[in-house]
Amino acid sequence: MNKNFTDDTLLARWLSGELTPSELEELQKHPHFDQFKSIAELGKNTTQVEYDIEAEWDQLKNLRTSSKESPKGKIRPFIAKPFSIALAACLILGLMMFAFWITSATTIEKTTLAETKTISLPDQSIVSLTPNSSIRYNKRNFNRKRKVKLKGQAFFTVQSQTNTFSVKSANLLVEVLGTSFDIIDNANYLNVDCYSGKVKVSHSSQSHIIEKNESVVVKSDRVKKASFTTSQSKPSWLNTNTPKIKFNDTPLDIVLDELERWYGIEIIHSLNLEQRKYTGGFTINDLDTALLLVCSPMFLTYSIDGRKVVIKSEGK
Amino acid sequence: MLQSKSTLMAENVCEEEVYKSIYFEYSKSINSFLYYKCGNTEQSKDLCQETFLKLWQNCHKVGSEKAKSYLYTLANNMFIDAFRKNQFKNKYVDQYEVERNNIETPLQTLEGSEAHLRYEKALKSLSSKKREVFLMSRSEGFTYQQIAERLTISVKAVEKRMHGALIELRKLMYKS
Repeated sequence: MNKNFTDDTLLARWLSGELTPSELEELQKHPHFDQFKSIAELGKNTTQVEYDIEAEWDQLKNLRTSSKESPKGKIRPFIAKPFSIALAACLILGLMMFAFWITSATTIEKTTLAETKTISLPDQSIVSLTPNSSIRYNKRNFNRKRKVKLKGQAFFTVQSQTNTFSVKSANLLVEVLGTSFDIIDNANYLNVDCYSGKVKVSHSSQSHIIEKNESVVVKSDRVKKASFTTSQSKPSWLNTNTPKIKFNDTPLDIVLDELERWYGIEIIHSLNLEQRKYTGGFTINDLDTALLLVCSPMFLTYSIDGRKVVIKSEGK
Repeated sequence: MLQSKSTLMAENVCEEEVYKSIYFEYSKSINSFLYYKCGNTEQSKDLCQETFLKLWQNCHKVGSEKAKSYLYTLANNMFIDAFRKNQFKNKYVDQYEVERNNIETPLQTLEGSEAHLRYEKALKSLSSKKREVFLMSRSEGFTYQQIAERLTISVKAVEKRMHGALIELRKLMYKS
């Protein structure tokens, strides 16, 4: 019998006594059979967890009685004073109307992990949100003051108008007159790519003006202007055929964060990755291919278990 | 056991006697199950209490015949919630090792104790899914059918995890 098993339930059925005599005979010839026997014995002798069931039951009884008598169950006597009730009601109503008027104008659009969304703003500008991102703007006076607050990453196609369109995120401010740009602000991953028109990008006290096919990237608090090549007038994650995310000399831990965000997975690893840089990209509609595209060139292996992915160094 | 099983057929869990018999039948295993996940006796007891408290609060939603798998699902979710809220501060694996190494072992020979230490260390590195099936089978003595009912997975899935656990444990312990 060779070392590897073709039947992935064989050892389980061995322990439950469900093997045929010939299967059992075969298994006993396996080079590691004695080791499996020891492990099975150790398992059997594993000391059970201490548990004083009577004591735990008493403790649970206390928990249960205190939870059923929650204040919601009690009826408090309420003495009515007609005038103060009327006044309180009016105030509350007034406050509610005011709050409603104020907040109804504030519009929030957000995406969760692995979700994208495209919406249009009151001035006909278009915003495509990537996963785990959100924008906030005032619906009512948007055509007068075109201001959008951004968390995460989005691609903006801005309508040409006389007033400035501005996008403010935690660390960046982008102001445009009529153009399209992809802005990403995920704390340590700051990048703006301009796809058409002219865009002014500011970070801390530094700013750059970039045009089509130019980008601003912030690395360790230094703001750099760079150029990129693209055959399209929009970012690659909006492609209909093979949508993908591209990286150029990006720290690998940021690349893994992006994988987690786009697929809604959790990546588990114990490697030191900030020093390693990745240039390449991954698809956003096929997790297995995406992981392969990231891990293979970096000599890493991956294994998928539901929503968790474990990444290790090759050869471990 | 057979007797209590027949009294539990589709009975009202909100009745004290029914709830109490469910508790006495399953709480030790639920506690062990949680312990396999977090390796900490205090945490597992707390989560076990919360699991049964949740059962009590939802007693009208579940028939007594479904209580068993409902409890395991509840326990699993309790653990995941607590883990997400970082109640274990990512040290649960170390905690598991610390606690297990302090427990007296019944094995007598010197060689046996060394094997036992290697075994405990290997157990810690196993994936949680494999570890719980392995211990539910070997330590608690459940059949694969009983494990499948509790974890609401197929018997085949249980067997695969069991086989996988042995393979992985051997690799970790004997390094070849």
